[in-house]
Amino acid sequence: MIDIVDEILLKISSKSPMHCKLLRKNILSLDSESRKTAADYISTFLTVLPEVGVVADIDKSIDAYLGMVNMVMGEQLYFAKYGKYRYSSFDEVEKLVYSNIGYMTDYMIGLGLSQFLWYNHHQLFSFFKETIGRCKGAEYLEIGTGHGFFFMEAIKSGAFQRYSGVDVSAASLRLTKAMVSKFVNKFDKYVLINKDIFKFDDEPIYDFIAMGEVLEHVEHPERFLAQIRNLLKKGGKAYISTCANAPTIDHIYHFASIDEIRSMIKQSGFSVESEITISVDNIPEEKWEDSKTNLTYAAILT
Amino acid sequence: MMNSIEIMKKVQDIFIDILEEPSIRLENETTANDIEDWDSLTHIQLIVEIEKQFNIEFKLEEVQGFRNVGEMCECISRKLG
Repeated sequence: MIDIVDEILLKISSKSPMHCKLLRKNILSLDSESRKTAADYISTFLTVLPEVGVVADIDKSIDAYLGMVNMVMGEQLYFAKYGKYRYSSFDEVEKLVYSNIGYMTDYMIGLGLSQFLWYNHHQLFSFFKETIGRCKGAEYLEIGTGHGFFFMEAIKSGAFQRYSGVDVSAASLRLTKAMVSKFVNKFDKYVLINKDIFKFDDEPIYDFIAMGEVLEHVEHPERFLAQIRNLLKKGGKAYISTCANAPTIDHIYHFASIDEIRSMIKQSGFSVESEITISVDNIPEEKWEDSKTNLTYAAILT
Repeated sequence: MMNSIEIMKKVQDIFIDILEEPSIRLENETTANDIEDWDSLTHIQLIVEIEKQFNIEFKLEEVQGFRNVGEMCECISRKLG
């Protein structure tokens, strides 16, 4: 039987056969449960888009996704030539990306689909899911809910009594809310807050704080780690993910190695309880340092 | 000045090196369908290496538009000429 993942791959193969080839390899590497999760989430994601005001059928969504893939390709070529990300200030990408509603909408669709079509994004999700399944506590906080997949998974785990999601983007929060309502009926133990995380009262009330793919988008990632520290209960845990040598238009903080990330984590007063590093290009570890390998990283911090 | 055969040979050596597959033999009609590990990820690695070795620079539209090896080599030839 053809599911939504097959349907997407079929459509991508007619528009970008070379990229489809990569995606087929990624999808084939999923076990049957992960494949089902991917189909469920993608299907729900595409269903809720119109509910949050995004007019995008499957073809438009695929065009938006492929637009993002092309953007990444352009940034990879720039990075290979100059050894740095194209932009380094938040103001620059604010104008180009975040305040450009049309661009941002397509980008959000692209990122949503990539969550399960890309090997590295899928691995991050599995790492998060595994971790959250082992946790227990009263208060869960997620900084930057984005497309809402991780927030949704945290709620589904049932590991916490109350869930808070904070994002500076009202559009992201609308999407998260729509995703949650599709998966969980009458669930009232969550709150979504449209606020800057630095405007939170610095009370250490959270047992678990998740912040995925934020550090590379800001000029001073160490301040975000410090704020997590302020908000985390003694004995609490944090999930963070970021990347090294991974150019996209709105990545402005360039970690040149995983050790640079670890060093910042340590300087912020955290210890790494567990971690995962994924080479996007499948390059063996001994070559990572010399070849400026594109790496995705996630860690559980205590 | 390199001729088209020399360009093709050099591109072939780059493919062999990057994709770590000594048996690769390129022709004008060769596409990603003919070479197992040539996908959108390795395509970038190939392009970066071709730019470096031929000392040329592709436009993004060119990189996205090559339908086969022949078009790629033709584009290299134009840039060298």
